[in-house]
Amino acid sequence: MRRYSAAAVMSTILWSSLGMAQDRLNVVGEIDLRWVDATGPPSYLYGGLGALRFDSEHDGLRLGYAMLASQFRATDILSAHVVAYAYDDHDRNFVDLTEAYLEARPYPTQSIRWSARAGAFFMPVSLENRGPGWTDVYTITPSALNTWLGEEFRTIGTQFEARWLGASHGYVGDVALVAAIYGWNEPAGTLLADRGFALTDRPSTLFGGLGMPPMTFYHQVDHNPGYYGGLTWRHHDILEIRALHYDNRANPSALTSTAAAWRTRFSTVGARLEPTDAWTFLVQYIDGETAVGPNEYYDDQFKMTYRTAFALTSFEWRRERFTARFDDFQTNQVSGFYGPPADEVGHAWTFGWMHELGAGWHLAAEWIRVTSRFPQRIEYDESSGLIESQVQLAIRYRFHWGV
Amino acid sequence: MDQRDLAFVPQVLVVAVGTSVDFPNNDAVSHQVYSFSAAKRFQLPLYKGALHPPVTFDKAGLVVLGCNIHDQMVGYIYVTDAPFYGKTDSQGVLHLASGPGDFLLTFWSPFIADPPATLTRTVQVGSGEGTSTQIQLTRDLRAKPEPRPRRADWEY
Repeated sequence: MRRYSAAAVMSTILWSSLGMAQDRLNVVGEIDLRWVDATGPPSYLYGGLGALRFDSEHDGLRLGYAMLASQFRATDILSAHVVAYAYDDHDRNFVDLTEAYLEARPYPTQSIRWSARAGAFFMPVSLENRGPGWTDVYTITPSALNTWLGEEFRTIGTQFEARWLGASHGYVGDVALVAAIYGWNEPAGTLLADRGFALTDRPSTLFGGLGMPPMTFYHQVDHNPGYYGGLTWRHHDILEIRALHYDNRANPSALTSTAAAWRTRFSTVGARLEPTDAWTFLVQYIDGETAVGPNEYYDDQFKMTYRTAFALTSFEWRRERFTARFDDFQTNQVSGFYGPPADEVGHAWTFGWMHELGAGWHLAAEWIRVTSRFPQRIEYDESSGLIESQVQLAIRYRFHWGV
Repeated sequence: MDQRDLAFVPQVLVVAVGTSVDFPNNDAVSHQVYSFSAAKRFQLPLYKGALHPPVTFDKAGLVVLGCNIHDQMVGYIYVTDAPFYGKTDSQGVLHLASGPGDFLLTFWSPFIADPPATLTRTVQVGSGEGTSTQIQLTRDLRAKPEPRPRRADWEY
């Protein structure tokens, strides 16, 4: 009898905490299946130098991804965020994490609200990837700029933010300063030097790799912490501007048995304008350099500069969204090893259409055409100049769940 | 003061000192409503629906509302000790049923950029008849009256 009443009390406590309607746990899941028709040479995900996710040998019916993004608000100011993805691009782990972090966000007591994150998360740069799980809300494939940031960068460390909330001063908008220190990002730059820029919706996972053989990015090589500092300005829900300077402060001579440290630095600035409910205009630019060596394998230092920009326009009308984007990118080898230089020049056009079917179902279609010249392709018996194209038609199902 | 589509509805509320206001959350997502305005500091921890009891506004002044999860949500409660008060309609018209006397009319909106000194009027109301007064704004409104909801409840 006593045991029974204890159980009754327990279930009452559980029930009442569930019945308080707080939704401490929020989960968004999405599965993306797609039909692909690609013309390019082998994609870098399958051991080649192709700049797109799929190629003429790897198209047809494909798993885009299965994603589970969860937020758990443990207390009023502390939340835990975990995002898991399943991919089928010869990944080392079929299911892996892309983000896992804790966030503390106290209530503001003045016009400044402080918050902090610790764990593994995306730095606040992309203006395209604003959906759950860092998904692109405008089309299937993000720009060359944000593809690269998703591939080689994850903040594994701590980020602090001070956000000035304009509302109490009669201003609709806010300004945030962010600063982070992190480790485990010394290999960043390896993939860009090897392959050049790409346009894929394949961010790297924390414990897996990209390509064949898998290239991994999250290693502690020299124990020098990296940093970034950035600014976000949101004006009237119409304009958002983001700028950030990143420096991983890696020692380019440092090596471990699994990875080399690349000194990678860049500055980026972007703006998103939403003058009406229907229209979005977005531009982003990045400019930086990366260097590796000399080390015990190479007497020289390899050094490369890079820059890429894109302009995107998107129109949303009822259940439809139409997007057009132009990407321009280039890399320049400044010094380095023998062989063809890592000098790439290219541009890409992307046209996307998204349609909301209702009840969580969406259709997405996209056509990408990349025109580029990359001398390293000669080593793969391909001509250095190349046009690659890819058509994708995806069906997506998304669900939300909360308790 | 409802919350719908990641916005406070109505966006501006005017109440007398001592009024209690409910904050029902009609969104599918949870909110954390707060104010750090001098006229009323309060916090409503994470909730959906009508979880919290009403909040009493016992001091005159402007209370700016926010949500600690959704920074784009901004609402205003104007707490007044004036004997007659109200909110203009969509045409900018407000009828006040006062008795006769001399009154000081003060107008306020979060979106008006005109200097506050130009937004007051002294009004004389005679017995048995009404009077009207008009304020013509000289500057454009400061912000769009309806902030639109973001596409998603996730921040990157």
